[in-house]
Amino acid sequence: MGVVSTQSLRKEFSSLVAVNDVNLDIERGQVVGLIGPNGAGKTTLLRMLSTVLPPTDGTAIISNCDLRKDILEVRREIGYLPDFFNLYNDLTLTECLDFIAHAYCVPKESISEKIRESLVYVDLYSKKDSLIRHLSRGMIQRLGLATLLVRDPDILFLDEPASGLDPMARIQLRDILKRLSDEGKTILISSHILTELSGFCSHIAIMNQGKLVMQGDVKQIEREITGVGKFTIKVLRDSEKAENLIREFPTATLEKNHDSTFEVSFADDPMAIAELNAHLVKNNICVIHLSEQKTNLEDLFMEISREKNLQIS
Amino acid sequence: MTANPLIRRYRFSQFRPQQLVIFGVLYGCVLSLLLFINISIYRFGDAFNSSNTLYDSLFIQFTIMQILMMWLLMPMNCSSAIQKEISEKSFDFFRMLPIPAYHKATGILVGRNLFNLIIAGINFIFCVVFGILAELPPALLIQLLLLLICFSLALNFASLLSSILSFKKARSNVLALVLLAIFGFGPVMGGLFEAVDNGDIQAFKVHFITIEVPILYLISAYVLVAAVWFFVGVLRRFSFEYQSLCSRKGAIFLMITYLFLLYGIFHHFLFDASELARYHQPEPFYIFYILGLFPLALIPLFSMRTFDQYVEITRTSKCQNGLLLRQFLHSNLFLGIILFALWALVMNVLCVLTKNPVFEYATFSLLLLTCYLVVVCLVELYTLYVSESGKIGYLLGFIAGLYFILPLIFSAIFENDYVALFSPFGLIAQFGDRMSPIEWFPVVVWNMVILLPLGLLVGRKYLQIDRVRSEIETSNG
Repeated sequence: MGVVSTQSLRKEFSSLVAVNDVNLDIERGQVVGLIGPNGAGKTTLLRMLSTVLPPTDGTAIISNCDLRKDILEVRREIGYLPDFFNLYNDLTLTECLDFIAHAYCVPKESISEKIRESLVYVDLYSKKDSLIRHLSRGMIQRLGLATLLVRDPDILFLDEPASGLDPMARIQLRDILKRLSDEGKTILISSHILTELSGFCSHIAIMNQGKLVMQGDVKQIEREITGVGKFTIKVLRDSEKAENLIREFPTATLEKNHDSTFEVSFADDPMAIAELNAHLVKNNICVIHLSEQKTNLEDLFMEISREKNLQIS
Repeated sequence: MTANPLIRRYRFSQFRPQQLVIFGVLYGCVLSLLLFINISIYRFGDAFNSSNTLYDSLFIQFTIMQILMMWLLMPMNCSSAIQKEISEKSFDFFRMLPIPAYHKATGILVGRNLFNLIIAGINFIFCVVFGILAELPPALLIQLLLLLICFSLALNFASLLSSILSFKKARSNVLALVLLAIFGFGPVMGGLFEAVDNGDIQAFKVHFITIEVPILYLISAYVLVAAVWFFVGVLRRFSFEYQSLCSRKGAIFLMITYLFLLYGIFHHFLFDASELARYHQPEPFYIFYILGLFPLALIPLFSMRTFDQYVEITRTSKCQNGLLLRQFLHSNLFLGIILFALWALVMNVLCVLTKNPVFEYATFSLLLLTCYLVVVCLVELYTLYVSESGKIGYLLGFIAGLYFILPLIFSAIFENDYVALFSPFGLIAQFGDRMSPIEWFPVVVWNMVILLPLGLLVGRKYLQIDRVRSEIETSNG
């Protein structure tokens, strides 16, 4: 069982089922992008996991604590950043972090060092004695992250952390999140801006109409959707001969060919591309480029939505 | 105290030097002004004929200041605590704090009033000093102090509770204002002057069941019980944010507590024949009987389940009874009936024990039950239909208004007292004069006529709840 594991987690609002018996499993150290259109139930799921909203049915185990029974323990284990929030306007940054650190029982002797580190981490150290009411939206968002860093939870739930930020602030926020994922934190991050998550999530979970449509490794899902791995092969000369060799190769399918560049898809055998490469080289074809085509999250999401819509219709 | 992180959080914002200086100077000025005026009057005027009267006056003035701080300023601070969190959008952080509910409650109570508490502490010393100098009896000082603290606790927890009754939007603290009006300053001030002037209120004793206790102790104890209930309400609201203020068991326990406390005061009058002779009209039992009805109007509102919760119950309930019965058992209507039954049981048993006319009181209980069902059905209709129309409350409130007031208006227009019986108010007012069940029968029929359409509408919606569940399950696979 993962570090976060939901068991038929469900939330109803009257006749609307916002989260419909979701079974989500997240292993330690995974960075999971929770994606889906508006109204898919992402925020409701995160709010339930963060103990802010009680589930109608089902439960979740977070770091071996039951979401329903051990609410205070769950709160200590996780860090949650809501989609739209503010912090205490009448406090300075240092005071706010000091309050959070005490509330979450950070050892007293390390609090001032933790506060300094967190503020440096989010690049707000120069503002440490300013009142929060004087901060910009982007700064408050970064301070929100600092409130998590100061107590250093291993599990982070982030709900649309970049919403309302300008491009510069988004890049800064993304850098911080990348650093956190490199440090081995378990992160569940929701967004409907998929470029925000590309290149930083190891896994994705896709929600639609309250249901968890798909969950897994980004590459694995890509394979599940496309069914194959896609590669680009560029040769220096003899493009006709190369084309014939590729067509004759049993597990390869030639998708496109232009200017001595071939787009080839393979059935799920990872050895096949190596064998094709060897086959081309053995037949005196100069392969000068061979790479796997990366599908971005946006393409993937569109592909999944298309598939699911087809299934529904 | 500093172990509570919320107190620490408020200490940061309240103890900024510039703020401390302003409020400190303000208090200092008020203090100096009071002393200056009083001493001037003592030295140059003729209002105070001895130093004792000067100290008496100072004691009262400082006590009034204490009351203003502890009963007005502090509850006002508490009443805006949660709304401030909501309006500043920091409420999710507050909710997420991994501290127990009682830490949150005490954190707000103490934290938001840190400065007030310090000033109140200083002020309290002045009160005691002037009380001793005025040679007030120590028992009076102790009793007043206890009263001050108990009322302060009750008002502060009530204000905090009013602040968290609606998490969804910031709104004015109607409950806090109502409570302040109830515990208004007029009676308090009057009582205070009276107590200090006469100097013997501390010796005035009343009965609690068979025990004789000084009246100020008894009042303090009753207010303290109210404070404990408010505190429990705050804890429940912090722990189970989306549920009603009272659980079902809690509602029954609250009802029993209320009836016990009421009985505690009335026992002496109900059973002591010599005391009874002093009260001809209305009889003590009748007053006890009617006062016992108060929680029936309030507790069902505190423990009201919503339509969403009814729909949820259809998923989680293990009850295998018939559809309508199962829904009825989980309904607000059922809880109302249970509470009424509890009240009727206690009242009718005591009616037998105190040798009051059992038949009349028992039939009157049944008559009141029909009235009560009309009211509870209106409340239940609100619960069931508010999700369809947010304004249904206005219509149902209007119907309730007509039900209570219209017979009284007709009674006045036609100068016919009997018509007033069709209003629950008129019924209660005329019970002593009209004991005959024959006179009550038309009222029962009238209530049944009103109940019929209300009951049908409630039953219809109960039956729809299972259909809503089936639709949810079908549409969501």
